[in-house]
Amino acid sequence: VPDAAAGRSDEVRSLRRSMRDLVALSTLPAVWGDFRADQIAESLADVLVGMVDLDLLLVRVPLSPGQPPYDAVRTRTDGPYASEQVRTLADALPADPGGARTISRPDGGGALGMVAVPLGLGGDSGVLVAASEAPRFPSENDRLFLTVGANQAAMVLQRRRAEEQLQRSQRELSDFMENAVVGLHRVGPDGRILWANRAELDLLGYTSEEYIGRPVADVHADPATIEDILGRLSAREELHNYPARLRCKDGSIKHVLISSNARWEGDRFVHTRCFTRDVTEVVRAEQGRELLVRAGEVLASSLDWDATLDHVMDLAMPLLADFGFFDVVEADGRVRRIASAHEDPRRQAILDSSRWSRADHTDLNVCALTSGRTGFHPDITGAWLHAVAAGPEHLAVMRDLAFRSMVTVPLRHGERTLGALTLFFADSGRRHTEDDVALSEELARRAAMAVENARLYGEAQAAIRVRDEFLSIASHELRNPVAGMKGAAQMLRRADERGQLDGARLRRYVGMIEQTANRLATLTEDLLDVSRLQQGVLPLRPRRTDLAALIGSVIARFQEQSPAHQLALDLGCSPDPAVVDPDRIEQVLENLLGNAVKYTPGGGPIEVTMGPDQGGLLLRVRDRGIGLPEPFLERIFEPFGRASNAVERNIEGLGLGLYICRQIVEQHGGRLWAESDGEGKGTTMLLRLPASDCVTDDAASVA
Amino acid sequence: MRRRLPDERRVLIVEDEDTIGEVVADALMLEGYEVRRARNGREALEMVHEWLPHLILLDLMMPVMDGWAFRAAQRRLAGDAADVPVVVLSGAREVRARADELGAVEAMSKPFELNHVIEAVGRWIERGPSAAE
Repeated sequence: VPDAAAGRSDEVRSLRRSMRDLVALSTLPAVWGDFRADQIAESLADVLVGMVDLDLLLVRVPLSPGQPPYDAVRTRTDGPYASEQVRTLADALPADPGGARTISRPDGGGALGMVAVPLGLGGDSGVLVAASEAPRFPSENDRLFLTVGANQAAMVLQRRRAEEQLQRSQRELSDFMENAVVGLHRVGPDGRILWANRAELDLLGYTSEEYIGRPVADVHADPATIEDILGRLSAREELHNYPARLRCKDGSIKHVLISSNARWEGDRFVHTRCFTRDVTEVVRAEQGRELLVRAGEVLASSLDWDATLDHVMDLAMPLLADFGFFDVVEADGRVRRIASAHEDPRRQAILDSSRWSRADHTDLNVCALTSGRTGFHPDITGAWLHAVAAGPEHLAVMRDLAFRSMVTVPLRHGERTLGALTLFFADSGRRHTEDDVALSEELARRAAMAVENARLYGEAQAAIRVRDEFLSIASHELRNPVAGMKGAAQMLRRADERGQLDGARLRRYVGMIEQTANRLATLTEDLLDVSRLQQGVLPLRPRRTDLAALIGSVIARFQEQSPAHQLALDLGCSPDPAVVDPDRIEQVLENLLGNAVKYTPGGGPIEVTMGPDQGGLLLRVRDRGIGLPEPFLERIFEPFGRASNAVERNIEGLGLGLYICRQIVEQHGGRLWAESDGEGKGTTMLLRLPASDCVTDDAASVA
Repeated sequence: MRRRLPDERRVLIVEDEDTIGEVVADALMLEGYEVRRARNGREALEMVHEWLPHLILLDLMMPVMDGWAFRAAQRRLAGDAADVPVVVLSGAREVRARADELGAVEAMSKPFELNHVIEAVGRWIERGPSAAE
């Protein structure tokens, strides 16, 4: 009995111990709470070697994918099993290590009972290998403990893995949402933004703190649009690619397409989910294209470029500017500001009145005009304004205009800068981009083409006007003598038929006809010369010419014809022979002397002097005749240009001679001009010819 | 061919081209008209103050004061001088249209037939307001 009692008592003890151990095993998941897999393996190994009489234990658990599994190894310290041998053993285990078997001790000292227990289904959470020299290993108890321990570990590890997978997929989803290239946000029933992803924050330039909690209507540029969107969503409509304009923190506008729906729980509106796709670049590219097309139409439709550029500026706003202007370089080099545009009339007046002068400005803000280069200043600071200001007044004006971004692009034609287009962003808070610069340059290129076309057209029109005026005067000048001649001839016949043709009348009319015919001949020659000059085909035939001799002979001729005038020649030196067209220079000299005689009607001295001047020759023909009123000093060199006092005195003349003379002299590289102290005070004509070697073949031919 | 003419048959020729002025004046004088010449509008205006013509032959393109300016000034003159009929003789283009603008009774373009001028003068001297007196 005692034995039996002792045996029962042993059994009871053993049972109690088993119960205690099983309870301990069942509490392991709680202990392992936030253990890592390797810690779980170690902990399980510790627990099991305390419960089962083992010579060898290996708990192998998988770590994260790609890493080798973790082995927790226990060996009886006095046994022959080193940890390396155990691992080799575990590695060698068959794929399904379910059943018990016997293995030999490595040192040949007998057999070990061995058991392998998979962790989880098919060992997906690891494996547990236990071996012992105990004679009845593995007993039922041994199996129980090892299996329960393995299951506990497998359960925790599998749950852990499931949790990790869930977390990972949640993290992936949230990463996806957060980092999606489309903007995402949710709006609560109160119309405030509940959440927004990075792309949306980046799109609008807000931080998360600034953005979350803001009424979504705040960021919409068009109140009607968001009202419509919210209305449709609350009617359970889904939106696909609904176009809208959002206002960024910096004031700039983004064009977006919105896809959205609302989440409902029963009748309760939870939130709206909204995808925001930024199509600003697409829209702006379209707008830019449209701007260029419309500007092209405007520019092609008119040659009045003030009005045209005005229209173009209107088109450029608001896409490229809040305000801006064209500056145009006039023929005299001065800059004229046109087509300025500003919504605010007061500031418009400032733009119109601001005067531009190259000297006053630095190259920074007017580089387009001064050097034909684009200026791009998207971030204008107070310091910058200081740097470019021409003075305190200019600074005050610029501050008043309050611009923050500026682009100035040249209007160029070939190497010439015709003007500049300058565009500003001010109150809208927008900044110019590289794309804006490119678009502005394209716009300026087209405007320049139109300005150049208008200029060419203007020149052509002016040339046509000059030609028509010339033809009108020329036809008048031709018809008058013809009419006189015809009248004289008819008068001769008429008088003859009536027997009234006496000798005096005959002589008078024949003289009249002869004189008129001479005039017509001269006029015809002059008109031919003018015509050739205007077509640029008056050829010079330069030769070495003794100018002194030429002048002498012309003077002698005139002196003979005009005894009432005293012609005097004073040669300051005896000039070297010049290379000129002697026939044409003679024509000039005859004209100058002829005028001096003609416009000194009562006779008088005419002094001709010639001397060296600036490496060339200067010839003066000075008379004491009727003189030239100041407004006619230049006018007399234009076709049909005649001085008023000459006309009033009925002094014959067409007004072509001096025009022709000046053209001839200029073709020689020289200058011809008039000086006079005024009416009644005589006239001096001055002719400067360059040094002979200046008269080359190039200068001699008219291109 | 000779017609009876009023006792006073005054014609003023305003023309800067001497040949034309002289030929027309000579021809009209041979017809028995009393003729005077002016070389531009200003001279003509001065003349009509003391010598009221029955007809004015007017060139258009003239120095100092052209035909248009003369006609405008003539119409502002006091008394009969404003109503003296004007025949335009001009080398300008579209002379008839211009004559209409000026309220001229007739226009002849240069070069003209001398006979036509003499006939026109006869016609308008008989019909004109001065001739009715």
